[in-house]
Amino acid sequence: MKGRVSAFTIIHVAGSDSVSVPYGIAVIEGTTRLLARVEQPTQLTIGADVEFEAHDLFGWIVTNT
Amino acid sequence: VSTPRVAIAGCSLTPFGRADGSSIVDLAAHAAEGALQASKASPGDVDAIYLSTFASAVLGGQNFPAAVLASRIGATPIPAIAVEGACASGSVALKQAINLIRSGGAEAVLVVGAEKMTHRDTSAVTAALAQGTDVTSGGFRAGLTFPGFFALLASAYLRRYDIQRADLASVAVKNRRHGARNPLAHFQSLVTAEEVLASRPIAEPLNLLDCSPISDGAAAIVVATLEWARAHVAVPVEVLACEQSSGPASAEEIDDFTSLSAAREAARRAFQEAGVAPSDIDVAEVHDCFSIAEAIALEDVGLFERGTALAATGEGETSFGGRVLVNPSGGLLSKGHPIGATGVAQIIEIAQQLRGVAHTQAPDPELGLTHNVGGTGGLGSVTILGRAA
Repeated sequence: MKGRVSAFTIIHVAGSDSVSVPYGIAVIEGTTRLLARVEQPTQLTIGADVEFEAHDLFGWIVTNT
Repeated sequence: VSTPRVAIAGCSLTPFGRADGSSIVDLAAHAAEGALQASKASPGDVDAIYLSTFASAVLGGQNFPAAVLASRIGATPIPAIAVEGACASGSVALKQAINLIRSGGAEAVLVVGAEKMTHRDTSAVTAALAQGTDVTSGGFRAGLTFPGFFALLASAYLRRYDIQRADLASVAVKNRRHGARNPLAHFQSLVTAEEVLASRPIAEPLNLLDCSPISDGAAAIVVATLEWARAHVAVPVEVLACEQSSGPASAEEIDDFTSLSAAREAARRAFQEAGVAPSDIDVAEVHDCFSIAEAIALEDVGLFERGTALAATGEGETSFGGRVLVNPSGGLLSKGHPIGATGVAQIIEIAQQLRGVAHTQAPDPELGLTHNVGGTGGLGSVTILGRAA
C-alpha cells in the first residue's frame, strides 16, 4: 500500500533494552491514518511518499521509501 | 440549595527528584500530613481522600495505595479512592474532590498525588509510560514511546509553522531558569540553548534536555468549601473552574498533530465556567512534559495564537516581565514529573503564586491557570484559580 508521511520521529530510547535502536515511527496518510515502523529511518522525511505493508509484530512497516 | 464555592486550603509537596529509601506511600503520607498541618486540620477533619497515581503497582510495587495511605496517616474510616488518568491523574483527583464537595457529599477532601519511579531503569519506566495509550493501537505495536509521540507532534508543528529546531530549546532554557529558584525542583541548574541542542537524542527532534526527568515525589492539598477554607487558612484560593475532557486515546486517532483536542475543549469549558478570558490570566502552570508540549499547551488554552508560542517564549513573553508568566515552578522540565503528583503540584504552585508566597513569585497575580494532559491527549484538564473575594 502507498501513503504520505505527515509526521516522523527516530526513536533512540526504547521501552526495552532488548530492542535495537534507532528505529523510526511514521504517521502515514493513506486510505486511513496509521503509524508504521521504519527500520531504515534516516532516509525518511515528512511529505515523502512511501510503501508499507502489514507486519506480524509491528502492525505496519514501511517497505519502500 | 446553592452549590458551594470551592477553595484550596493547605498545600504541601515533597522535594521532586530521587527519594531513595521511600516508598510511594511514604511520599504520599509525607505530603498528606503536610497539607493537613498547613490547613490546621487532622485526618478526622476531612471527609474523603483521593489519591492520584499512574503506576503505583507497575513501578512502585504497591497496589491498593489509597487504603494504605488512609491507614498510614490515621484517616480511617473515611473513604479513600485511588484514581488514574495517566499524566493527568492529579487533575482527575482534584475534579473528583470538587464534584464531591459541590454535590454536598463532603466539606473538605484531601487530594494527594504521588509517584515512585527512579528506582526503575529508564527502559522499564519508558515501557510503563507507553501504556498510557490504547495498547491495541498501531502506534503502540510499532514501538511508539511517549517521547516518540511528542516528537511526532514536534515534527509536525515545526514543519507546519516553518520553525527551526533550535527555537524549541527556548522552552527548556526558560523553565530551567525558573526551576533554578525552586528549592524543591528536581533540576536547579541552568542550561543553555547550545547544551539543549547538543544533548543526546531521545526521539528526534527531541533531545534529552527537551524531556522531563523521571522523578519521585508527592503533592497534597486540602480542597474544601470556601467557608471551611476561610476557617482554616489565612488566604484561601478559590477554584473558579476545573474542567476535564477526553480525546484520542491513540496517536492514529489524532487529526491534527499540532494540537490536543481534549485540552482545547477543557480550556473552552473552563473559561466559560470561570467567566474570564485567556488574556486575564497572569500566571500559568502548563504540562511541559517535553519542550514542544509547552508550546502546544499555550496555544491550546488560548494564551497564544497558533504557531506563535515558541517565538513568544524566545522573546521572553512567558517569563518575568512578559505577557504571562508560564511555569514559574520550572515546569515538568525542571521541577520534575512524578506522574501522579504533577497535576496536584501545578495547583499548589498557582495557589502559592496567588497567595504571594511562591519561590519564583509573579508580581501580584490575580488569576492563574493549570493545564494538565494525560496519554496521547486522551485526557485534558484546565483549572482556573483566583484569589477568594
